Amino acid sequence: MKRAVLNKRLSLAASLATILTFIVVRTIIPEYSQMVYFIVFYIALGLAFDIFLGFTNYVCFGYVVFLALGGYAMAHSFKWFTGDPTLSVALGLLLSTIYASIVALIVGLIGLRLREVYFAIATIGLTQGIRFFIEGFRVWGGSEGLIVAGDIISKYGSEWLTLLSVDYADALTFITAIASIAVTYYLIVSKTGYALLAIREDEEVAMSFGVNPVKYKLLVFMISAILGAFIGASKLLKDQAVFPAEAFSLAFTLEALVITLVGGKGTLLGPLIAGILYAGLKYFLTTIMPGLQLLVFALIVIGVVVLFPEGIVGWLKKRFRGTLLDELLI
Amino acid sequence: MEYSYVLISAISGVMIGLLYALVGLSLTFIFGVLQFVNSAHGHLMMVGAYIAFWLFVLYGWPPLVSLIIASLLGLAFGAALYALVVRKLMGLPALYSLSAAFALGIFIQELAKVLWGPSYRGFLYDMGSIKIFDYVVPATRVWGSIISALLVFLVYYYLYKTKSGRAVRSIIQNPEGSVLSGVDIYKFYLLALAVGMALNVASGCLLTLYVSSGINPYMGGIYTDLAFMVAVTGGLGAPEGALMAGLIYGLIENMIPTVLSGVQNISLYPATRFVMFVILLFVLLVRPRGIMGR
Amino acid sequence: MSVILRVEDVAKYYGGIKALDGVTLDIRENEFLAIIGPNGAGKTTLFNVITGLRRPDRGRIIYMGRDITKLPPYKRAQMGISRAFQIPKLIYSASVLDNVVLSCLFGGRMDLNSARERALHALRLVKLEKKAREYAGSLTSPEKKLLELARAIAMKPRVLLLDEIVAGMPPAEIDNIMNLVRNIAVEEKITVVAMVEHVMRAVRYADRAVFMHQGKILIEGSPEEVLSNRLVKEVYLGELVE
Repeated sequence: MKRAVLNKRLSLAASLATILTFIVVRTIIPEYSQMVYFIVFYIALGLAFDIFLGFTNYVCFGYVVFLALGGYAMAHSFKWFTGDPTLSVALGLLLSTIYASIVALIVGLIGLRLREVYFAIATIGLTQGIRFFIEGFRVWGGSEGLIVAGDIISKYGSEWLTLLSVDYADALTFITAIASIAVTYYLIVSKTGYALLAIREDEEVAMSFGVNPVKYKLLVFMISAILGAFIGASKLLKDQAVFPAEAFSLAFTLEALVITLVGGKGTLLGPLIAGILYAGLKYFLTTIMPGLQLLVFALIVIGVVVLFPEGIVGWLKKRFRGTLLDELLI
Repeated sequence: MEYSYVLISAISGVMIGLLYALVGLSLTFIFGVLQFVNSAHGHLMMVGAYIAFWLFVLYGWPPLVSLIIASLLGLAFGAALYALVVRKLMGLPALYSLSAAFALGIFIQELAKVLWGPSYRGFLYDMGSIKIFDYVVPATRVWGSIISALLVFLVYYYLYKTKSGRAVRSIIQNPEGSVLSGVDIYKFYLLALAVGMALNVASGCLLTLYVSSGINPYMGGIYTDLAFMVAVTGGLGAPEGALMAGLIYGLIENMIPTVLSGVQNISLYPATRFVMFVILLFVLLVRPRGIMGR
Repeated sequence: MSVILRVEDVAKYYGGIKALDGVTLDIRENEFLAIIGPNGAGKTTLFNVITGLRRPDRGRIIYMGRDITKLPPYKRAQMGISRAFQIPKLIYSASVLDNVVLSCLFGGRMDLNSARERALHALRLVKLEKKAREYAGSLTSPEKKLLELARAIAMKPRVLLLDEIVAGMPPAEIDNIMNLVRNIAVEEKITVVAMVEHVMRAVRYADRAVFMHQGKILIEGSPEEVLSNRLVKEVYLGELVE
């Protein structure tokens, strides 16, 4: 029994070490910071998305909403608050948490009592729903969005612009990735993880076991939402602006799906490995055939779902079931 | 409001409502039999609209003729989709088929963009107009509603008056029971997806009889939203509800912008779509199984 | 003996069908009660209503003096009402041990360590401890039933609702399991309510029996009394499995 726990901790250590490696590389070789950000961004996205998808088998097609909310939250902080810039970032994160939690709570309380199918339908419209609220009722900058570059320069000076969009954005992404790793690990080994396993298999059975399904589904939904908002917040720091047309793009949900499904849903190493692979693939496609990316990724999702649904880690575990590798890979 | 204005609003509401009924019907029909959520619905309608456009612009064929081509293409597509994708996903958790449909929608959308470009297309097909009271209605709309009504009626006739249709209904209501009664469920899965897709693409073609401009790769989204609204309100998997729900939405659709135009400082199109989303959430909150659902 | 669970004038209708047509039943603490009845008598519906999977159209369920009619199933499980299903409700992709641990964690409200200990104890009671690490899906059919039983009792329930888990087993096996159930029930002070449709042999292990037919309880008494009752024999004509 003890050895099983140790094996799982190895994967946790490996995941954290990977992120640490990226941090070290970036610090030593600043020219790589852009690429490292790119990779860790997708690792974080995959992990954060998988916290909900992988552990409940529910798909939130409107996941990008949380990224957008995080972006807006951070923008609000820089627009409405003048003080220490680091405090602004902290405030932005607080607002991200609040915005994401409110939306997740409303959608979750309505949708998570329903079956996966109805929840998916509700969330398909979610993205457009919130986007059209912003554009339709002309709040939060409406269709033109919010640009904070100007605010930052006038309040803090242009050195801060660089500092925020490079160092702070990257740091936030690293922190989110690490937090996502920690949460995913916790869900795999803890009592909560057990409950979610039961809920996934058969909700009625889970209830006979004494598990309250809505409570657990809502919990992971909110955590996933908040982490997604943090990713969006880091993106705002990077881009210095948020526009509805781009922020609410369904492409992010598709990307998150690719990473989670290809890596292996419900695992720790899956989104990690797939995040790295995905970043590489996307970079490659951007150079040789931009404009066709979404086409390729959509095809990958369909292909994975039909041919390879368990993903990389899932496949490896199945192939080596019962062996040491099976225990190590989580 | 003038009496005849209300009447003409109602009539145009019914006319578009019949199309919406068809839209919701094709979605709910596929879901009812296969438990497959076709989130590519609107994008397939987009394809239907493009078919109408290209056949008109290249060969001068009116949408009424393109309808047949669109239906056949939809039929073939549905069959292929079943054989290659949906069949493999049937025993798995819902998330796989949901993801596949989602990805399919994006794929179709992006493919359309690559093949036909992002710009807005349109064509002018004039069949003259018909006068109802003091108002002039384009004949194309009248034809659109007649054909929509016809197709909806055909589906209902099939489901309720034919032996094969009865089998389909039993599959919708009780899949395990119907297998035990000897129904070749796989044959019907194939049939349902093929027919559902045929109706799906056809409704996009019919759409051009109402609105023949603004055809672009990204037009599908709003119709997916609409299809779900009608299907969920009528009852997902309950074809009987689609007609009622479609008509309801047809009638209120005109009303939403009218009500909203009183509100200051808003952009009408996005605000309308937001209201549509809220209605969907509301239905899911209050009565998720819809009007006619079990 | 005091009454631990009371079913009070419960009715459940499915369209025109009266699955339960005014059932009143007092279940006494620590007894072993058998509910006999043919297919469609309402036994499963009764169990579903007691555990909360279905809401009754009329009547109440009172458990340990508390009206639980409105409580959701998971709450009732946490309060000590457990059920072993005829088709084992297991998590096939998890290990044998994990299945039982789950039951302890939530139904039994234990922490992780106590849950593991209790789970192992339960597995030992049903003699499955050697298979603890295997996937539940890889067990044989009889083993799955034992696991189902272990899962149900591991959470330290007060009341165990037993579906007809011995259906289709040879007599020796039936005796094995029913003895096991009885012993565990006595040792752990569990009230057992067993549903019996075909296997009359199982009824002998009960202290008391009731006969259900068409949604009503018609006869009540000791197992011998009920089994030798003329109406019961008529309903079961030729179908009794001894």
